[in-house]
Amino acid sequence: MCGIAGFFYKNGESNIPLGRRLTSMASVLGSRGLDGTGMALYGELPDGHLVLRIHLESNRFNEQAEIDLAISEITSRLEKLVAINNIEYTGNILRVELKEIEHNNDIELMAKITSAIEDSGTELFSIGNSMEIIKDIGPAVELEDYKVTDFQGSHGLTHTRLATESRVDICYSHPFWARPFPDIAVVHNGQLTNHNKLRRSLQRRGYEFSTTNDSEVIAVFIADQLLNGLSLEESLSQSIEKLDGTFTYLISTSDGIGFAKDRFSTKPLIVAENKSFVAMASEEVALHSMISDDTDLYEPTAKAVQTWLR
Amino acid sequence: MASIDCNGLSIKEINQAIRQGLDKDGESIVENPNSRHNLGVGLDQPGRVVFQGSVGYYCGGMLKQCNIEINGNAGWSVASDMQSGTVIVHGNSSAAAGAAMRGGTLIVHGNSGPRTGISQKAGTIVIGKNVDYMSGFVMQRGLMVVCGDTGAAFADSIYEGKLFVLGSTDDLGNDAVITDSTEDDKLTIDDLLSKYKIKGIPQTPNFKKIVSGKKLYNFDKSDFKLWRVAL
Repeated sequence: MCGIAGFFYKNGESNIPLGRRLTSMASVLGSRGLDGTGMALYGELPDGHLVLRIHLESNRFNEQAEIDLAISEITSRLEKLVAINNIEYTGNILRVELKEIEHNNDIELMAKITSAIEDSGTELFSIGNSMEIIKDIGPAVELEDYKVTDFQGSHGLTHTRLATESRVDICYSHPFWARPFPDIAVVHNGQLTNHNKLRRSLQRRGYEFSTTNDSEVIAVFIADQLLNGLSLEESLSQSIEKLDGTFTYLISTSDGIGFAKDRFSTKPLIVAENKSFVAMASEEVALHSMISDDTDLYEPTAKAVQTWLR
Repeated sequence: MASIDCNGLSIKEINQAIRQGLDKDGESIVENPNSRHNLGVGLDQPGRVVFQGSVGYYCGGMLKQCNIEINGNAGWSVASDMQSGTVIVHGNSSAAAGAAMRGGTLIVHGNSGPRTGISQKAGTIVIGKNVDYMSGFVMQRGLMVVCGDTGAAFADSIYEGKLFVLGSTDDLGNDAVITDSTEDDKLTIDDLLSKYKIKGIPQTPNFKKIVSGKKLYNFDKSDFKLWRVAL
């Protein structure tokens, strides 16, 4: 079933942290799946700075020394490519902040960083100038270890997973990062039927995937459309023609968020919008704590796409 | 009169309290339904239930005799499999409202989602505004009135029954045909719209009547193209 939700502050930020907004929605949507919970959070870093979120499976290690070894391996691999500003290790996730680089959007460099890390046997959850992806097995409360409720930011996505197509594993849970494009993530409710075909065609053009999951294909597909010069809204419209199967998905970039619904209107989405924010969720119940009389509440129709950008 | 606050109660406890209220006072007022699922399912006694807010999925499912009013929106499959009674939604309803209903009346004052009235077997559905994709699919009997626009593939593969649309019907489903309304049809619609106070209707509304073309009743080789799309 899966639950998806997104949040966008129209004026950038608010005194209610973004992380708290997303956590409240993810907690309620837990009824749609408790196999995994994840978030893509967009904060503020100065231009040129990048944050990496790397998954270290702590139960793979018997003692602290092994973790330290894995971290130093990742560090030395990264330092051949970029300079590191700061490293933190919480829960299962390593957060690496890089020193300023010249171009945020140097896709070739991002691809090099990705393979450098993943060749060491760990998975890179995300690279972003503003985006950080955090995900773990279990319900929303599991993300408390990462202090997500204090995360100040402008917009983000969350997902609660009911594993139907692949196993219960953090690497298969959402949000999916559009590797190697920084700052692009997707959460998806549904099943694609032509994802293998689409993945092969993207692989032929040089893209690499970390899973065989259908939702990861959506993220890369949209990033590729954006690279080709399409707007986010145009890319979403294009996806409705090209993706086969059932889907309602939310996409986020450094500029904002958007959604697309399949032609059969199979999967639910309710949008709540007022002058200060837009919140979207699979079920209205997840929006109750934040709507008031001035909030416009609606259900998008089949084939609908919409974006909110800054 | 019984008033039930849903906060802190399980769905089972809420539904039991609704039944007790109906037994005792013939009425139950439900506060803070908070879009929770399975509220008022399987009620089978006369009386009135009012939800003071939005309800989640399957509200009023399999309803008999009872009259439900929802002062908010309804999630998936409101009033599905309804046998008799009425369900009135003052906001919008989501997918599959009134699915497979066998009797009774469903009124939605706002928009209704995809597959509204799918496999309707009897009874009446009135939607105050628009319906989404494939509403009225495989209707077998009954009446559906849409006062706004219809989504793609409206009234696809219907057997019997009548559908009336005030707004656009640009994309009708397979074997759905527009025909002339009778004086009786017009009276029935007038009665429904005034009884349930549907807003935004012009003085002399011109509803289009949609019925089955009955071409899919029996297989005919010359209609092969139609069958290929329908199946």
